Amino acid sequence: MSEALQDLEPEIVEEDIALDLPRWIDVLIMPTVNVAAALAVSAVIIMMLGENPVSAVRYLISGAIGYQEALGYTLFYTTSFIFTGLAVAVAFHCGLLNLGGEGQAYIGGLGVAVVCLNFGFLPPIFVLPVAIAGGVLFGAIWGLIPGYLQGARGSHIVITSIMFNFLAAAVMSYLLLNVFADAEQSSAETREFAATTWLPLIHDVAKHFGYSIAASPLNVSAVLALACCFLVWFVIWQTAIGYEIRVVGKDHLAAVYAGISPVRVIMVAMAISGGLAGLLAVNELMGSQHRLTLNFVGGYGLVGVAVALMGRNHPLGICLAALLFGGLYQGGSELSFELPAIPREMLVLIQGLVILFSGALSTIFRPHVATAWHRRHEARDALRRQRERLRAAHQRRRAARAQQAQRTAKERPAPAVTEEAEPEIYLDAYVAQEKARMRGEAEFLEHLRKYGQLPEQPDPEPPPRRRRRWLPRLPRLPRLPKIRVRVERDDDD
Amino acid sequence: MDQIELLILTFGATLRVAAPLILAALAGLYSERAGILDLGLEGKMLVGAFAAAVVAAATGWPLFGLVAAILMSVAFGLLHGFACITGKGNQVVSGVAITVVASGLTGLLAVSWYAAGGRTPVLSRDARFTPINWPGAEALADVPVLGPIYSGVISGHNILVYLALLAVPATWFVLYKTPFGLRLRSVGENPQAVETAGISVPRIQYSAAAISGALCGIAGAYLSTGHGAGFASDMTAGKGFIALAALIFGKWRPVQTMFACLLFGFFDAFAARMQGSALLGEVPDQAVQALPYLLTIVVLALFVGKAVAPRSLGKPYVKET
Amino acid sequence: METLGINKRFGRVEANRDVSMVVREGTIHGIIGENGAGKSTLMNALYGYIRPDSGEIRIKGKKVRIRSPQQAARHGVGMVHQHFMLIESATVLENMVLGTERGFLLQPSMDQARAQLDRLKQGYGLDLDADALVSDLSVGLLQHLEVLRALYRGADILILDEPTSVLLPQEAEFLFEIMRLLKSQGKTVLFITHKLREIMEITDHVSVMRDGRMAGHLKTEETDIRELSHLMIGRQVFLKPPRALGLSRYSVLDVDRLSVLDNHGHQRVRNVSFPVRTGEIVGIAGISGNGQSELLEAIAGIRPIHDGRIVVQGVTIDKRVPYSANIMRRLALAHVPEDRKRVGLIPEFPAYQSILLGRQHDPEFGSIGLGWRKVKNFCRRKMNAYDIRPPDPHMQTSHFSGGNQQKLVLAREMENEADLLLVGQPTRGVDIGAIEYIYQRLAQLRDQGKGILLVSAELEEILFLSDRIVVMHDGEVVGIVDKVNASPELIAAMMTGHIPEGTIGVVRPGDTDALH
Repeated sequence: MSEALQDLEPEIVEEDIALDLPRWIDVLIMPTVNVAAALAVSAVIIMMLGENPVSAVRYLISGAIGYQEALGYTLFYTTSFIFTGLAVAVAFHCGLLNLGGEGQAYIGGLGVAVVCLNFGFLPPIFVLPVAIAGGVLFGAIWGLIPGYLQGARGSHIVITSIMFNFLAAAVMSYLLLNVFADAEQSSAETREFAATTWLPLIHDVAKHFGYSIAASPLNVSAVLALACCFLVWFVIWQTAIGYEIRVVGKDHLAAVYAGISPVRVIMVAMAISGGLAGLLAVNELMGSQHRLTLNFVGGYGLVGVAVALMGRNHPLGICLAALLFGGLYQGGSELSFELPAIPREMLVLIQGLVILFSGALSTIFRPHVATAWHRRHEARDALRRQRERLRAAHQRRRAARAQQAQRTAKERPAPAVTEEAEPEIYLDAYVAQEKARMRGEAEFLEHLRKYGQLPEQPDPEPPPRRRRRWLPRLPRLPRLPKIRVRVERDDDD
Repeated sequence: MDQIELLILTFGATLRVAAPLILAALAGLYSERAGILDLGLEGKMLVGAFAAAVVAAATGWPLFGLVAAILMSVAFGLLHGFACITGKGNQVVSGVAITVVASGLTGLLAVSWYAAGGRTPVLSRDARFTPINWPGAEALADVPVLGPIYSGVISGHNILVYLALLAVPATWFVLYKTPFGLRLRSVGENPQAVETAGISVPRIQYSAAAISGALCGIAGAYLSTGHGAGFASDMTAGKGFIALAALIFGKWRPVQTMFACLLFGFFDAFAARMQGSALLGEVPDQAVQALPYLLTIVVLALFVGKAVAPRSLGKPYVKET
Repeated sequence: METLGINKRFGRVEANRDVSMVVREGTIHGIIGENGAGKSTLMNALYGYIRPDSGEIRIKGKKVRIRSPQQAARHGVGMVHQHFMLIESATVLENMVLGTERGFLLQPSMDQARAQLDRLKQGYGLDLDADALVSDLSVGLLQHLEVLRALYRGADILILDEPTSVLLPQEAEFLFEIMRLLKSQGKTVLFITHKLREIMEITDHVSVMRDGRMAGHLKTEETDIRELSHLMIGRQVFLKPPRALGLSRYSVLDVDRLSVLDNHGHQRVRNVSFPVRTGEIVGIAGISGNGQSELLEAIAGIRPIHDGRIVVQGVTIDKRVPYSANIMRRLALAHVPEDRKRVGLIPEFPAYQSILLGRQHDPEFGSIGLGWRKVKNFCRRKMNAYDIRPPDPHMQTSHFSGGNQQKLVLAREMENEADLLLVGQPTRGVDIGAIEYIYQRLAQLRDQGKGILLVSAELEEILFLSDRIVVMHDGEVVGIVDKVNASPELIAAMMTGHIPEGTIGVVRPGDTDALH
């Protein structure tokens, strides 16, 4: 708006000024605040269940990182969650919420199993990449179909991807019971994969190099996960297709204008997303279980949503969020063992709360943090300016007095010591007093803003009337601006 | 004769299967007509089902259960409303969050309180909504054709099924014949225009979110205290999303949406009944289970492009002050 | 009615600064100013849609507080918005009652409104079917509906925000009739426009706004266009008409019997043919919504071709060719879209990423990975060339002012070394300084031998810039007029679909041979 005014200054809308925060606050503090809110609500629920949240946290932490084996498990889960988190993030950059990670990972497991069961006689150097590719491919196809339906037919991806989860569950349970059923076993799972298809475990690798680590299912797919993080970062931010994915995620019309086919880009994004979800099967099946089992995904696909939202859809954030959830999963099993009143379902609740606070309510706390931040800065700046001003005035006075003293010294000796010390005391007392006021007193700042400075020589002791006005007022809750979102305005407004 | 009887039984089952879908789809209708995407239907039904089961089990009164279900579900609906209306958050994410929170919370409480693998105690007959046999249903059952229709299709459902069917004309009436309905429709189309007409957009949207919650609560109560006899974790099994698909299929209109739900219900009931019969032969269980999901995908793929959604659906309404 | 010292800031931009004015009862009071001078902000404050930071409003001498549109209505203030505030899927009557319904049922209010509507319709000689769907009405009728609705709500003071920008000249004339009628009934009309001629024609008093301030209050009788434009712009503006070159024989674009559908499957462009030759500007004139936008989008590769073909640089494109904006760009086409802020930029991206839009596959900016450093340098160069402020490629696109966002797109597209430039509404939402520059630049590009296709809703702009004018009505070409034969009256008449009897120098759609 106001084109005519653009010569004055870049237009920055009020809301942006109010919400203009240093980047580190957005990247570090806000996710922390949001997750803290989610955990706080969880703590309340734990209390409602009659348990002590503090001891719950203690069990959780010791269960997650208390000993080497636990740490191994934590990192094993972390690996899975990095895959599903990245999967959700890639789709999210394209403006799609892919809830189908569950099904894509499940079908990815089918791809892994098909290769591992049939080509186990090949040496690992051949079969491992092919099996991984199988998982990626199958997952990608299962993601591609809802992607196509969204892009070409406009079917809402959230609904279709969930439906595909149910379909995947039906297909897999049919296959496991009727096609892959292991004759020797009564449960629904395939026979064990050939050992050539097992991914090396980290503790075995470590042993090879002479280190001794407690056994855990942590395997080399952790390295694969980190590689995927880099790849996703590179593709999304450093390549043309990533740029196109992000453009489509923002505005389809703009994409078409730029010569991008949204249908194609959505399908590519969903294929990448599905492929990443398929890698969960690699970690889970080739790394740990060594056979395809019923429901091996176990809700990990959905964790990806919470991980991605908490990690702000950035690989680095996803790694950290995955680590947190890895810890929660490992610690959570320990916790439900120690405190049976807190079963594993707690984790689903925490996921939901994290999605709620980091995703849907992510804007709720930001203005509060912004207000606090600005208030602090404003007060600090005002205080600094004021102190400088007073100090300068004091110095001037001192210089003047020194001159005066020099002049008068010739006439008669002056008892100037006490006089000179006085302003120093007065200054510090004043600053302390003002500091106390500034904590909650908007009016003082208003005064500063209005007159640019305080009265030149404020009374060392404020008159009682004024004190009455200031003191009874309790420190008020900070006035929080309404939450506003930037408004697209018309040209002529 | 057998065939006809089978068909009639299927129709009766259709109503029973479709009732929660109808309620949930109407819930979605209120919300989406006010411009708020509601992917939280599933979650709201789930908390409703849980609350109903718990309260009915504790008090032995299904009606108390229903009230509790409505309250819980409305609370979740308002939470979704808060995120979307006041917080202006991502409506898709919010709906999903509601659903995941509901799934986690109900699962957690069920396991923690009853320690029975996520199930609540099986409700006795008194603690459930039981089928109402209409006057003369028994007597007329022997009359050819009409008798079985009366006794098998019209009579013999519990009160919530009839409530679901009544909710359809009621919704139609509210939507097209009351000021609130006009405002609701208008908010979903052009909230700016509604604001300039001097009506508070958030108020309409919050009302819609609350109504949506209430209807979901009834649907949930039906699942756990009408159709079933207790709560099992994740017992909604995607019904909320299927209802959304039906809503889209029904072009956000009450009557069409009801027919869409009945269609879903019919296929479900039909497949369940035909399973193993001569007509379909040996079909694996999984195929029957997957049918409603497959049908949902087909419906969305074939019809969604042609449906015209409320214009400002999914866009947070932002006003400058 | 008077306003005293209205202030409104949006962030650091003061949209209204100490705006005071007096509007006399029973007059038509014009408010005129450039885009972004603060007219709409002021009106929105009067209507209670936004809340001024300070200042007061008095009606009939009494200080009033207008905090919401409803309060405004209570004080008798009604507004006809530039972008109609109507519910498209509802009927005329439902739109009338929205916000005034009382009671549990809709019917009584509807009946009441129907009676009232009939009375109003008769009073003002308007024809409007109460049960028609709003989406089926023409723009002119929508405006009548807005006026009637304001009157239905008891408005004594009627604010019309740029009402003529969407109307045919005849429709505008009819609207003026209504305004005079309103005045004769003692209503007060606030008429906002940026067209000086309209001010002179209809108003009694006029207030001129500039840069958010009131630049002057005048009696219309005692002023003239020159004085008003001086007050409005604050300095003399020299717009030099571009020099026409001799016509070349080589056409850079040939549109041949082109038909295009809109999103709803209605045919919006029918059988349109015309060439654009090197070194000429072809303007497409027409009331907005007569297919110009769809035509431009089809040529740009955004909208599929329904029938017919386009020949660009000798390459024939018809509906069998898979077709996208990307392909057209490779054929050395550049496109300044009409809805630039929406389509031409991504508000959430930093400027340097926005400026890449459409050129993401350009080998200039890298092969496997994008060379962001090159993109940033490119962005910085463009920013300097077009005086985009601040010249910071890292700033988020949405943080630039509207005018600077426009310039970002113009800079990207116009400096593209393309042979064919499609320009939609080049000066919409751009300040006067930039308009001068854009006109100059378009003329320069034309003189360099590029072909330019211009679509604009401003007839003056079309007449000023174009070497030839294609007039469209209802998706069809009415005729093609050379600059020498074009007059505002002729083009305006042709925009309604008819060529006046005895006109010379108009090429009719049938004789396409005459074009080559």
